[in-house]
Amino acid sequence: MAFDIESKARFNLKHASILLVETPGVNLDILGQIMTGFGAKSLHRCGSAGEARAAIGRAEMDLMLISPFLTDESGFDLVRWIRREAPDPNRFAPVIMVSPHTEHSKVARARDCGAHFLIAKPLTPAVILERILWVARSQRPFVSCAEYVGPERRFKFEGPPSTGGRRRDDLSSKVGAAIEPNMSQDQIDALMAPRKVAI
Amino acid sequence: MSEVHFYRPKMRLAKLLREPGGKTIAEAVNDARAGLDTLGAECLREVDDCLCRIETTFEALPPSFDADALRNLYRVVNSLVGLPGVAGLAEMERATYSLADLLDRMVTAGAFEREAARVHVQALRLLRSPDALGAKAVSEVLQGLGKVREKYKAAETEAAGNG
Repeated sequence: MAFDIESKARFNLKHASILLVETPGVNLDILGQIMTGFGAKSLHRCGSAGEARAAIGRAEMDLMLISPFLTDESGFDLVRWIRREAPDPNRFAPVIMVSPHTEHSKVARARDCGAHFLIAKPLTPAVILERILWVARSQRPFVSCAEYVGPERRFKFEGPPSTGGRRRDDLSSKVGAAIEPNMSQDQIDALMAPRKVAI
Repeated sequence: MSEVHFYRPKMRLAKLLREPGGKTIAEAVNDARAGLDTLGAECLREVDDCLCRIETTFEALPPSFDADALRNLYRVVNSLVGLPGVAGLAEMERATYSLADLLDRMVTAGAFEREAARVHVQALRLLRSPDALGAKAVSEVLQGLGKVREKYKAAETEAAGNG
């Protein structure tokens, strides 16, 4: 269902503690203005990954918005650190990455760092809000293994597995010639019609 | 094979969002937009600074392929992505993203097409003042950039096929 920006549905971010990590200056201000517009009061603005690590160690975060391009280190590495080494419960906090263009060579890194979402710039309030509400509603389980720590990535139904549409033990897709006469309309109706069931 | 653990940690955000009070979605989006509008002038200043840096960095590029120099230009261009849109320059935003994508493809392919990049850099300067350019010319500039990118993509596909 499309996100309705005219919706009268209410949400409350007043008591949420939100971490914003962006290059200092106007980019950080953009995130700040959007979250303030959403009614957030407790914003932790960080202009570097170092500041973000310190803030994560100090306070419990309910949501983190992080840019991959920071002055001291990659935002992807920061998210990997959060998922593996940050204190609980921040390790499990929702992370949304806000990125300009992502290099083709880093797409896999972006996918595997453990963020809930990656939003492409330019940022619009509607898209950010939609993602925040979606993350909170979906509450994806977390996965932890040697290669990956973060929210379960298999949350989208993408059809049957890539086996050409059929598994080895599925019935053949080829239909042979009919060996019986077609069913009459009455027989079809009788199949479809609801019936009383005696329990 | 490594061990895989699944767990369902409690998300405080979901609980907080449901607390009474707050804002409607419509109010929140409007308030956030109003907040962004206050940054318009600051964004334009940053856009102009970035544009100057892009032009300078582009002019300093060596004539042949140099991955580090192209990556540097890519970084400067990428620092502009997201700002024109907030400053009300949607067409410049599209051209900026297009240039970032083009440069990334060049770095990946190991080939430098100076003219393709030059057209984009010049387009950024033109699209900085869309009103002076006129709606028809703006649309033509964007179509032209689209063609440049398609041409580059086609050459890239052909080279990959031959390789």
